[in-house]
Amino acid sequence: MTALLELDGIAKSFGAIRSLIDVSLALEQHGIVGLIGPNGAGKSTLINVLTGVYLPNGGSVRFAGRDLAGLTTAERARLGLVRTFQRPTAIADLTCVEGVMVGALCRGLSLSAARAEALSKLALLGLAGSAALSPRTLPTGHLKLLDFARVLTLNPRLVLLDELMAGLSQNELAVVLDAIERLAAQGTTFLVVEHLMDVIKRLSHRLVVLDAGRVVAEGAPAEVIADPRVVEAYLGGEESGHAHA
Amino acid sequence: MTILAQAILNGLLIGGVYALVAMGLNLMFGVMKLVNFAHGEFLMAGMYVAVALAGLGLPAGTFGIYWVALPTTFLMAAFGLAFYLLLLDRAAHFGESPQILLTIGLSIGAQGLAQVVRGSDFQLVPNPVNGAALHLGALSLQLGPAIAFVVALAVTIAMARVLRRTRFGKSARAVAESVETAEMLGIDARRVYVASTAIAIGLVGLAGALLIPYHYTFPNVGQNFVVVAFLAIVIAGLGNVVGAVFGGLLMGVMQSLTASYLDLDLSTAAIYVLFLAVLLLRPQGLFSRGRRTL
Amino acid sequence: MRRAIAICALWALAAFAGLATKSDYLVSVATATAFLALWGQSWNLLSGLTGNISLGHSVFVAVAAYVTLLLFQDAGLSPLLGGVAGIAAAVLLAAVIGAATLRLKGPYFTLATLSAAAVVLSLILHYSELTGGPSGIAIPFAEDSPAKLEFTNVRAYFLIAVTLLAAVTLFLAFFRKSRLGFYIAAIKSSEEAAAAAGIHVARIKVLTFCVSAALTGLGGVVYVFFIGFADPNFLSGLTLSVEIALIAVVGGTGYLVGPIVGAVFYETIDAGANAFLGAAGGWDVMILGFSVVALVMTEPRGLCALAQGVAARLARRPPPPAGESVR
Repeated sequence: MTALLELDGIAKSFGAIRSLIDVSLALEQHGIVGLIGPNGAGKSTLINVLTGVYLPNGGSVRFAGRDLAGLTTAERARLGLVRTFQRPTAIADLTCVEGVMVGALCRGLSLSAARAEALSKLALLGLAGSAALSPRTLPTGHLKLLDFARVLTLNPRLVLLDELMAGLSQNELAVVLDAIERLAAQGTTFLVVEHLMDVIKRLSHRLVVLDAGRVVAEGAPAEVIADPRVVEAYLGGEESGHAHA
Repeated sequence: MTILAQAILNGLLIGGVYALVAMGLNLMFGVMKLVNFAHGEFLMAGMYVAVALAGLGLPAGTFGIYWVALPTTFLMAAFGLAFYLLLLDRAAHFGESPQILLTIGLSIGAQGLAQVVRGSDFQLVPNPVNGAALHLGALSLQLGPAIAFVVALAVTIAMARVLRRTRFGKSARAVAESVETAEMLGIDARRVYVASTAIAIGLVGLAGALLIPYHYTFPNVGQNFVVVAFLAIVIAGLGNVVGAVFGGLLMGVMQSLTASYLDLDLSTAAIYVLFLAVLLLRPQGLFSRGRRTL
Repeated sequence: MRRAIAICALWALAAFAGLATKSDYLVSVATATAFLALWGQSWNLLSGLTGNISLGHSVFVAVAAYVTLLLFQDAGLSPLLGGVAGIAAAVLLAAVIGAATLRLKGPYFTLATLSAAAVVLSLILHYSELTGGPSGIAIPFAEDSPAKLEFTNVRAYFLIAVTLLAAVTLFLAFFRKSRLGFYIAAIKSSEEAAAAAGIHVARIKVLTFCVSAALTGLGGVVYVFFIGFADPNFLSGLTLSVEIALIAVVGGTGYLVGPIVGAVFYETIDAGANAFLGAAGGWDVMILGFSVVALVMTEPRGLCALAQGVAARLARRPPPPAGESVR
């Protein structure tokens, strides 16, 4: 089976700052892959390159066997490559369910089918009660879940979760982790960027460590965490006062 | 060749006043992210203030009328202070549409007020500068615009130094970069806003005082200048105060050149087309590199 | 559905009031108000719903009006058909302007629309063999004829204007809850997030601009026959562009009836000042401008929000949450 996502030698710099130097990575279909690394390792840049927000200076991204060069964020999303935001904005003029429907509408569903789809995704994430509310009344953690629910209605094949879990209560966290595992079991692939180590350990089938713009380790979570290079990457981060793990 | 040189010269001289108007506009935008659509009416107010002061009497000598420049500048700066404290202070958090609405409302209201109080007549204080010209070979130099140009250049140099060297300048640049960061550094953003508004309105008052020796004063006079000043600041780069001066001069030259070679309507069209081209090809402005502010 | 019924009821009420009014002058003022409200609604579709503030919307009034009028004058085409061409021209212009300028943000977009309108105005003034230049085009009145949009009785124009206004308002009521309406709401809150949800942001923005231009042009086609004269400095001028934006924001961009409330407010002050203080002298302009300032300082979200707040206070309920609805 060919990989769902293949990154080959991705590089991205901003002026003199080289955020990604050489990232090569292959993600198989199915499964949850954790992506960790100290702040400034290039995780956010990588997500932005994958979703077409940034054009890489070098390298290629293939998704489901297709080269993504030249495709916009929206086109990638419609192909099934979606992401969530660390700090999402509420769609102030719509109710929660309407805001979530947007993804399903982009998939070509009718208004009523999209509404049903949105309601089911809200229920999956434990937000069924908020459907008719304005998102302006919700706490930030719930806005992230709305954002997640919205991209789920696109029926994605690969979901990039950018620190989705930070700021959720224990109960909400349990619901969300359960939802992710269920979707993964049904064939959705997840790339999870997260600072909550216990969540990453519990969720990931595989772990990738990014440091200073390169992949420094990857493999089974327990092995990777014990890897001296990873320990060093984090300690290095700690010395400059940026550790979050 | 002489026509071309004369057109460029005229344009530069007209551009002096544009530069003073644009500089204040850009200072306010840079610091407060506010597009002041009433800026032209502050110019108009400055001109009426200067005309009123000149009506008190003119000292003898060619340049007697310029005694009004400093008092007008300070009166208008005080006016700017009031503008900030009465309106902008509260409006700072209103968001873009209400702020535009506020300054447009003020602009319309001020034009009406001027018409009610002073009538719609074109006013000009008789003075020796009006119509006087210097001759440099085949070129002629209108005295009024030339003085305005020289003063504008001097003010630009002074402003550049103020922004670089003084505590106000450093604070203003920090606030323009990011209000949050500036406040974390202990800078009182509100004081920067107050001072910037006062300086901006003072500058436009000065422009008014420099205009009255050779330009008619009437309720809508600000409109002629403010639209050009808007184009100037976008061409220079929004928020780039010193660049605004070059934007102002460039607009003056472009206006004068197109007017010498095209008929009036087409010259207006040409200026806007040039402006749109700059906007679309170089949205950060001609004289700004990347994120540099003020 | 309740909104649709309310709109139809208001339409019937306005139509009846117009027909019952004796004074031609008052009906003319009301007609002008309806046109202004119609343009405000069209503007709100773009600027209120997407947050891109246009100060060049009068250009679509002018283009639609001129194309219709020239086809009528030179080719004898009924404005009912020519109007379609006029609106198509406005849409085409919007597509060009929109494709070029909609990637600009905030004040850049605003100044770009202002400039584009200024270019079109200059061209209309310059090509005077075609457009009549600064003196405009007068429409000679021949006979009462619906096909030529010519009526002796001003109430006919009033009826057309309020009907168009009601139709556009109804359209907007449904539009906000349509596929495109949802996309636009998402784009307004964050273009990045909207793209991440699969929305073709640039395409949708241009499309919205075109719809807004079409509705604005629709008003322009009828308006020019109501006035009987195409005045380029008015139809394509900055003053009209500013008025259109002004009344929409004065009423409140977050409200379906916002532009209507804004237009009534604006024209009432204008007509009132003219009636009591005289048309000359600048009183009307002064009072208008300063009332707008006073309004923004009391309630930046506009008259509708002000009314809501007052009503809530009277009912001793907390006012609606101060929020982003205006931005």
